[in-house]
Amino acid sequence: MNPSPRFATLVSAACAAVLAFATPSVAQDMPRPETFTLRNGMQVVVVTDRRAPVVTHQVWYRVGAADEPRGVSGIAHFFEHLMFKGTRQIAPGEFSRTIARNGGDDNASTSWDYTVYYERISRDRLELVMRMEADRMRNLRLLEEDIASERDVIVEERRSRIDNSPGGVLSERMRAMLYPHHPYGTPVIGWLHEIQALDRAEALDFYRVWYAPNNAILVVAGDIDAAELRPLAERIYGRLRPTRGLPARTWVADPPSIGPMRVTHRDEKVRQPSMSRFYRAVSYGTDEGRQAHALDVAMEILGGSETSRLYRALVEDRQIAVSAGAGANTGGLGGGQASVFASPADGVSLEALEAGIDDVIATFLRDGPTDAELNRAKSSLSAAAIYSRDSQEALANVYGQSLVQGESIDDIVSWPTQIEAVTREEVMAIARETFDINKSVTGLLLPAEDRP
Amino acid sequence: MKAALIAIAAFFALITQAFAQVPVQAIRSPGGIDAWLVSDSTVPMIVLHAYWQGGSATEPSSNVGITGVMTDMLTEGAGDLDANAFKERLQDLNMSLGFSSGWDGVGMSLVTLTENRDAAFEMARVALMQPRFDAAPLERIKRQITIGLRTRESNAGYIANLALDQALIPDHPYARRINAENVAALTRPALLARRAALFTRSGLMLTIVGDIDAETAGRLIDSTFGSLPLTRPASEPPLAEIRPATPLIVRALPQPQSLVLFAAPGIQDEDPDWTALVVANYIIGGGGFSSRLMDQVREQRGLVYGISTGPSVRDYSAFIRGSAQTENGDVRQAIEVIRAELARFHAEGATQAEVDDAITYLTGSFALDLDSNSKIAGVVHGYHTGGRDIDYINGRNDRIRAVTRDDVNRVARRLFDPNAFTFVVVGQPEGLEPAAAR
Repeated sequence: MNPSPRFATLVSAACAAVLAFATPSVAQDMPRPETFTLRNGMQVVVVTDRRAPVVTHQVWYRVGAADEPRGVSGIAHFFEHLMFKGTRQIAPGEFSRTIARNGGDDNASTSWDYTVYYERISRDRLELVMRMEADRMRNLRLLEEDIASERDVIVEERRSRIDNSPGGVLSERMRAMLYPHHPYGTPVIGWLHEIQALDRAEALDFYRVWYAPNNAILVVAGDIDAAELRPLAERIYGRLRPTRGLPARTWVADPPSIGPMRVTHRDEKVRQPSMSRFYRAVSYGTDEGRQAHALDVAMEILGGSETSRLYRALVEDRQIAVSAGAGANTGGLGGGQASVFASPADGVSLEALEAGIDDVIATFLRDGPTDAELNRAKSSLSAAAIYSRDSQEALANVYGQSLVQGESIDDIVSWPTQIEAVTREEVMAIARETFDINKSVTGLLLPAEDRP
Repeated sequence: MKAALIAIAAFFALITQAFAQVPVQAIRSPGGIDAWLVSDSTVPMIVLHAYWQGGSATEPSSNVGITGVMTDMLTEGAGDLDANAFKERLQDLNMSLGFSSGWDGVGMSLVTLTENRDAAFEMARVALMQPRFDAAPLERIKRQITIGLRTRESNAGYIANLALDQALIPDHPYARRINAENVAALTRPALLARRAALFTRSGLMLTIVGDIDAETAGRLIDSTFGSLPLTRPASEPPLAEIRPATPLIVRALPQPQSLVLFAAPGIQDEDPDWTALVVANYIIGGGGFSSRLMDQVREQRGLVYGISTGPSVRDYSAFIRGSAQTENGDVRQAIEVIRAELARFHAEGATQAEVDDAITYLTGSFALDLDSNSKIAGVVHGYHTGGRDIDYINGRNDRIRAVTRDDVNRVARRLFDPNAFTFVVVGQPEGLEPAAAR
């Protein structure tokens, strides 16, 4: 019954969750995939799982919304849609129809850091998928008439995901304040007025620069190993021309924050107020040592579950909130983000609720976690690694996304062990660095008019 | 183009190999409780699903909503453990344990690592047999529901589904929703009574998948479920009497895009036309990017981001439902296109090529639903609770392959009459006049 999205995770809010898969107190390494690189520079990763005669095939491009020229926001995502149009060999729309006709599913997703195209299909169809994916990597044909209707589709997509949702609108503005200059402040789907002006020339410019084998990572998981995949990969992807002089991905830095920022959004659809706060944070791509691991542990303790500090203090003990929690996106190539959120109980003002959140954070910064909290958080984060091994798709996502966001295979394999090694001091140090109100944006979501 | 098409065509002959058989065993515990089991030790984890018939639709009208609250409260403390201690214990065991309620039944799901297996099943037993229903978590949940009553007022999906149910099955429990009076009536004695009425050993259905053998499963089934009483669940709701279609219902909600839901009477999954409906639905609106509605409404006209249809089956009602979202100014056009496509399908049916493509997809993609323990557990348990035979899963693709174009066309004539569909629009659609209210 749900509409089938062209891509499942437009915004990589799932980043942390994807990597937040790992082991309990007996840390167990993630399975080590096989990997090799083709002559043209395309990296290949193979994760074998023989339980079903099925493969997950993904091509991750090292390009996303953060690489867009100014004034052309949304082009990376628009282009992701246009990749389903056609080539000399495949008519517009035929890509997905061919995959479906062969019993497979396909889709794609755009983030600030990457664009990924993926198919899931019977293993005996893998070569077909690889040929079509390789074909559109370099041979896309974009007709003027394909542009207009697809642009209307992404305008509708923007309305569904953001404009219909007061919380979505507020979050978009909060990010824009948190990153006043860095491209992470621009929504992946683009600003409406800029989406409406996107054209074919801009799309083709984007394609010619970035879509190349030496800017891509191939991940194949499932009923296959490297010895079987390698000859296919060399024959199909290996013959593609690399882009010479591929540009380095250079993003601007933000100016230092000048103090706490706040934004209020009122909408007649809001029936229940809420507040949230974003902090700039480290990520696995930018940290030194185990800072990102420690941040994930800290956020789990603070707000990752119903046994967390925020939920207990605000919802259960003081009863000033009906929901409260926290989370971190530690996957970003250019840095991460931590956030806290809560919604008040009846008769409680957002000011009182915010003071309650500040109390919980201050206590945590002063006293740090108990041993029990530390162990439970590490164990919870870790257990999910074993559970993630149940799904070839989840494993493919973990490896593809982590590699494209600046980590190494070793980083991923040893992630559970590194989480297990996180100390109380590391947790407190990263919490003190992150929870600085002077580097935060607080957003208040309110009804159109205050109710009595 | 020709070379590519020949190469693509060459793949078709092989597709039947993709589906491996799923070895489902029927087991009976020493204490006499039946279960379906799929043993696979690739990953050191176990998934257990349990289902009891009798859900929200069997609630007394004075206690609407109590089933969901009761199942939520089962993980809010049990035995010696209060709510916090209980949740901490679940985390320390790296397990997940959840109870859920639907219109027709209540369920339990347990996922555990093999190393913590016995302790995890013991947690499930305690939650099921010795729930505390303490005052503090109950009050917290009541506060949360009260907020939920308010926020649903501006939730387009809630508004649309309620409008559909009230128009089509107004007198049935399926059209009821929890309200403030019901929240006030949520007391500990009422929760205890509801628990006692639903959790019995008769009608319990169990599915276990993962790193466990039949003997161990039998032992744990007895220790977890063996002390439930044998009594049958009480009353059953009536079959829903479906009213004639209302062509258009409009509900105002201030947002730039409208939600469009459409529904018509459907068939139960025991109906001889069921498998043909699965194929027909794929062609009209179930086939992702390949369906007629996706092609006409999204690809050709750019009116929506997504549009889909699907059968919606409950024990006492059956519908075909569809949904889409589009800009307020485009709603009229979107509905016209949807109606025209339904009419064309109703009158002309499908082409042989469409039927062939649908069958190739539906049979080939089935393996994608069965590539992990969690997915296998979900699919097998769905068939189990749906009253299927134990080997239904392994005959599924043969039944799909047996569907002919005549079957699909018959289903199109029977179930896709555009005049049988009720359309509900939630938003600020321009230029739409709703039919007179019934």
